[in-house]
Amino acid sequence: MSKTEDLKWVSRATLLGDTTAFDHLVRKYQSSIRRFFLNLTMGDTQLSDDLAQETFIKAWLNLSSFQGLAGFSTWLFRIAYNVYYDAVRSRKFTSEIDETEVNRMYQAENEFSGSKLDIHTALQLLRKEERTAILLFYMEDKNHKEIAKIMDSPLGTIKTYILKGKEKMGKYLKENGYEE
Amino acid sequence: MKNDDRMIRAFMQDHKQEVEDIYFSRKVMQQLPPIPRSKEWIVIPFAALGTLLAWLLGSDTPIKVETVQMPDNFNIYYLIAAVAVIPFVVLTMYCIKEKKIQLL
Repeated sequence: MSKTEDLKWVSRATLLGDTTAFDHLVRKYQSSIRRFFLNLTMGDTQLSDDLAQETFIKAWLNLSSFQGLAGFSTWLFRIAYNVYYDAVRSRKFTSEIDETEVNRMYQAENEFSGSKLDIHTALQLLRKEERTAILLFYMEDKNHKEIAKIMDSPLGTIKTYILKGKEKMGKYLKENGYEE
Repeated sequence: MKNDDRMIRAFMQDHKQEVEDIYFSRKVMQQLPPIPRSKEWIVIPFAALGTLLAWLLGSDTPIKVETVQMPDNFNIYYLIAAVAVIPFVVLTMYCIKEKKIQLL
C-alpha cells in the first residue's frame, strides 16, 4: 500500500467519517507501532498494547489535522512518540536506567558473554533519546529528517543521538561476539 | 564505523518481528470515540451576516449609494430586525441538527 493509498484512506476517514478506511490504516500500521512500543518498554506487551491503542485513538481524533506533508507513518510515529513520553512523565513506569548503572554494565568486561544477545539488553545501554532514534533509524527504516520530525528535534541533534547510540551498541555487539 | 553501521542494522533486522494483530485492530475500532465534528461552518453565516450588516448600515458610504436602491416607504428597521434574527435561526437549526433540541 503506497503513500497515495494512505492519503486516500485518510481522506475517506476524515471527510466521510468512514471507520472502515481508518481500520485499513490501523491494520497496516499496528505491527510497527506495537513493535516500537515493545522495544521502548523493554518487552512489556500489555503496556505496549495500551500505548498503541492510545496512539490510534489520538490519530483518529486528530485525523483532520494531518496535512499530508509528511507521510502518514511519520505522523503516526510522532503521535506514538508523544504518547510514550507523556506516559513516561505521568506514570513514571519508565525504563529509565540509572546512568551509573548503565556505565557499570557497559564497561564491565564480558559481562554478557555466553548469554544470547538480547535486543532489550542492548537498548538499555542507550539513553532514551538515543534508543528512540536508533529504533526509528535501524528498525523502522526512518531517515534522519523523518526522525527529526517525529522527535521534534533539530537534524544535528538526531544525528548525534544516532552516532552515540551506534557507538554504544557497536561496542556492546563486538564485545559479545555478534557477527552478521 | 561503516562496519558498525552494517552490524547494527543486521542485529536490528534480526530482531525485527512482525507483531500479529490478534484482535488488536478490532479492539481499537471498538474503542474509537465519535469524531468531533467541525463547527467551522458557523463562521460562514456569521461572516455573511457581518457583510450584509456592513453593506446595509454603511449609509453614508458611496457603495450604498451606488448599489442599493431602497424602495419608497421601506422601513429599514424591518430589515435590521430580520437580519438580527438570522443568528438565532441558524443556532436553532444547528441545535436541531445536533439533536440538542427535540422537536417531537
